[in-house]
Amino acid sequence: MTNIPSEVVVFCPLPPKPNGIADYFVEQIPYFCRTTKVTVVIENMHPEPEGIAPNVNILRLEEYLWQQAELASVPHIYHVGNNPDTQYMLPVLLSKPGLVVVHDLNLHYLIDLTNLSQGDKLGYQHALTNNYGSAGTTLGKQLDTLGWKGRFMPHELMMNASIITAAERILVHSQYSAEKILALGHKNVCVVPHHFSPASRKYQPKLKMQYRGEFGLPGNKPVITSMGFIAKAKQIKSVLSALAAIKRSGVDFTYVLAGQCKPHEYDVYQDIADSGLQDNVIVTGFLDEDAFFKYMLSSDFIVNLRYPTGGESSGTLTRAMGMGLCCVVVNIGPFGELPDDCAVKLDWGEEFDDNLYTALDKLIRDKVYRVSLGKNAQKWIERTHNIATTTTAYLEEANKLSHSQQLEKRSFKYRQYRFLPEYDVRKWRQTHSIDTEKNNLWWEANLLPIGESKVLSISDENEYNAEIITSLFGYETPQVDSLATSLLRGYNAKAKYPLILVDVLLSDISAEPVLWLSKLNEVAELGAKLVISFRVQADIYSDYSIDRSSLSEMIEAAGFSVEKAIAGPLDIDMNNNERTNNEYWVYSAKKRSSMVNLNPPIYKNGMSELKWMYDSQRDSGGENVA
Amino acid sequence: MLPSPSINFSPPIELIRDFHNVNAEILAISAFLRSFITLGDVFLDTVPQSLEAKLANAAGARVSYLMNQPLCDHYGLDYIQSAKSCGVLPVALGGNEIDINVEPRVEAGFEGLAENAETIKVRKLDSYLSGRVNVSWTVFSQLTLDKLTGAKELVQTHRPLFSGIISPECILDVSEWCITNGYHLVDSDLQDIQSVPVSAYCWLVPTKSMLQQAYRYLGKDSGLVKRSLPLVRLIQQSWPELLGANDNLAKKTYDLIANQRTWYYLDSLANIGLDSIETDGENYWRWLGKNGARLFLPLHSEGYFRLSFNFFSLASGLSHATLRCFINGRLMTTYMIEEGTELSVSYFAREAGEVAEILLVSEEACYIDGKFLSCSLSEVTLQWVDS
Repeated sequence: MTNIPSEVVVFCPLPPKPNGIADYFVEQIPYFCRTTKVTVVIENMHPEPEGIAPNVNILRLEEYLWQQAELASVPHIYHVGNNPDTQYMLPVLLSKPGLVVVHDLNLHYLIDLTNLSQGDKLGYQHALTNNYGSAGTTLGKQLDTLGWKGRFMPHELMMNASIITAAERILVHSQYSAEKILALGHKNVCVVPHHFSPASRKYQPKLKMQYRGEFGLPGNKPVITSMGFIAKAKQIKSVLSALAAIKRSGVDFTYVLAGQCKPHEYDVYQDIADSGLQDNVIVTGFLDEDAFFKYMLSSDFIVNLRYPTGGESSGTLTRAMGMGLCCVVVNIGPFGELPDDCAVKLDWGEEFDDNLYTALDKLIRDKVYRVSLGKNAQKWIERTHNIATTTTAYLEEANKLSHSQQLEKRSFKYRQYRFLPEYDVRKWRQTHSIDTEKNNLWWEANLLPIGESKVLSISDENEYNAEIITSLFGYETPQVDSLATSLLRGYNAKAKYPLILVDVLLSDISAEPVLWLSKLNEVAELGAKLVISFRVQADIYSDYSIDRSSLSEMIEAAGFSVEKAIAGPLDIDMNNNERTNNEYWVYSAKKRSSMVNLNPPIYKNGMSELKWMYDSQRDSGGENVA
Repeated sequence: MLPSPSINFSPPIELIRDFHNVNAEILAISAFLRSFITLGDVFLDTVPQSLEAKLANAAGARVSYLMNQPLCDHYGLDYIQSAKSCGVLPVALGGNEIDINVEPRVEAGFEGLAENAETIKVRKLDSYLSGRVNVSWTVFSQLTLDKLTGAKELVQTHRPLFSGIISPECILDVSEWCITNGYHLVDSDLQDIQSVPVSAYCWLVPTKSMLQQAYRYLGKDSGLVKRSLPLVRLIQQSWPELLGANDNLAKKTYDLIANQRTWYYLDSLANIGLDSIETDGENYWRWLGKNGARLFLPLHSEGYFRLSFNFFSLASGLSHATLRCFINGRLMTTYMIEEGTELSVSYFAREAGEVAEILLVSEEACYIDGKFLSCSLSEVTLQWVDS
């Protein structure tokens, strides 16, 4: 098979970690190993993995970091989900592009673990900035000041941009998730269904009553089950309300909540008490795999509601459908992609509770109906969720990866920027003839880092600036791309720059400052340094306030954070009173986000207009056009 | 007529190396320190807990610690902040002068997005040490020609002693530099060297008289000794001045060699991840957090070492902890620790100058007072083990 890699490195938790992603991947391993050597990287404090074949190489993160050179050219696969067990892989994922399997579309909680959960409020604000630009900064400040976080569910604020944009390729389990990621500008997205667990073949639907007997479930009543972690998003309260109404109509049943609950996050016992169904509801707590499947097969049908959705696919749902069980879902997100004849799909809206009641009532009373849906579901899963097919798809995607750069460090959360010592700049000034009519402030202030791979110089004085960039800052001529100011708007950069120097008249941007500045965002890498210098003329007209502090805000609206601001020239002669004709404002900034706000509050012009500037084709590299 | 070396007699320096190579290195350091007429400033870019630092402090030198650039490159702000808390200056030695700004990345998903940037100034020796009155000794973690080239004025004015690890690729250039500048390039046995098969600790001695003095202190001409001599007798017999003088340097040298170990003050241990030091008045300890702690212990020579860690206590709620110890990226042991456990790990250093990067991480941790804690460390000891 030429389209399968001979070796892969996979970042994923493993059993005995109680994590669905671990269970999912461990089922794939034997299929991977048929064609490919597998190295799994786990976190340093991971318990000893269990049930893994000896031909799988397992490295802890520390071991991996010291062996990066040997593994640099091996395709990397990252299984990332919205839980603490995948936090350890983030620094590597964000530094070494690979195939990212996005199990949960919204990774807000995962990001939260790296800052707010550790008490780092400012770090959380920066994370919001990275996702949402200056609007994220505002939100972070408000959350800090007003403490609103507890009042809205994290699902309401998507946080995944850094992980999506760091990936070379992405694999998801639903078209819904794929479309959300494509909307972020990432072009290399593949949909592979969540495989049907081979472990389920051990369990026989015909042993339903035997399984019920094992758990003390009634043999003479319908058993309805909601499986998995008991969370608010599973709309248990609505289910209880519907079932209470069904009970009042004279129908008896047992409702099983087969999973772990955390009462401090969602007090399901209170809802059970409020519904009056204490005698009908069983809460099992955490289940091992054996109990999980048996409870599932003890059921007459499964209620697997999820609202709002984070875009996650449900492994539980795949298992239930694959075992021939009828399932009730909310017709939203990935669940909306299920064939209409394979599940009961309820639209979310004002009539949801009524529709839920009707659906549950029908499923309880009409055995033929629910069995028929279950059979359809089973056939569909067999056709489309075969594990051999899905794992081959994983490997084929991994084989397309091209990134083989070796990481030179063992910690990736920092970046170095190199600068000349001040005296080198002074010495250069003394030994070179300077045109005092030109803009010298940006280099006299020593704001330009040295040693970057490429520099984009935007100015109508590019010849003069290029001479300084090469002679003083040590760049080679081929490293410097020059662009006239007027050409920036139409510039179609094939790749992004780590360093941009802008030397323009203030009037060049005064018509639409943020729109102009957002073009810089388009051509800058994340983390790129920007040195932007404005020559300030007298009598500039603009619809917007373009004083020094307003410009700072506009630069931030364009996705940058201002690090230094200098006004000059620096060489005003203090021994005379001659007024200088040249005033410059120089800002040193860093790109923090691909999100720009084209209508920022400083415009005093109504609502913000956020625009996402990322494009994976451009960001993945390529030749720049001078 | 002195007996020739035989199976029963050997030069003392050879014998002390049989116990462990690091003994000879310690003797050389001590001998050179004792050879100074007036000992002034000593500058080291090794980690603060190196043997050179311990002995220089014992000798009464004014010791300044400079930033270890490879560790900064690897670990960024984590290392810089920890090093600065141990008194390390934000200056590194190099052949080209630049200012390095270390800043957090911007991508959500990294910890520490809001940390303050730090600047490390990379300077040539001449510009950093200009104006000093008495520069006695400069120790490099990696000694390369560009660092020496940047010490022209220093060499002219102070003629300091240099030492450090030299790689096989650099030895020729450094050797030529020594010839040009009138320095003697020797190893820790004070033998001239022209080439090294692997990285080795070397000395650049400014004057013949200093070399001869060190030679004398090391007992190079003192004759052979019985191979069967126990260690204590050997050092008493062979190096009476170095290890028997009534001063701190001799006492420290004796302590290191006689006990074949060194231990580390917790408050000046360069590390990443240890909490601040705590005490009950009698005991001192530092907690490991959720991500564990990374220690940097210079091993100084090839050979077998035993690293020992004493775990004082566990976080409230834990009766035991599953601790993993990595050294230079290898998982050395997984051990169940309880309060008071001493964990010892053997390690073989393959070449001189190796720094043992130790990661201690616990599987279990408890959330207490706003942070995750697992176990506390009260003692770290490095023993050199018989070859």
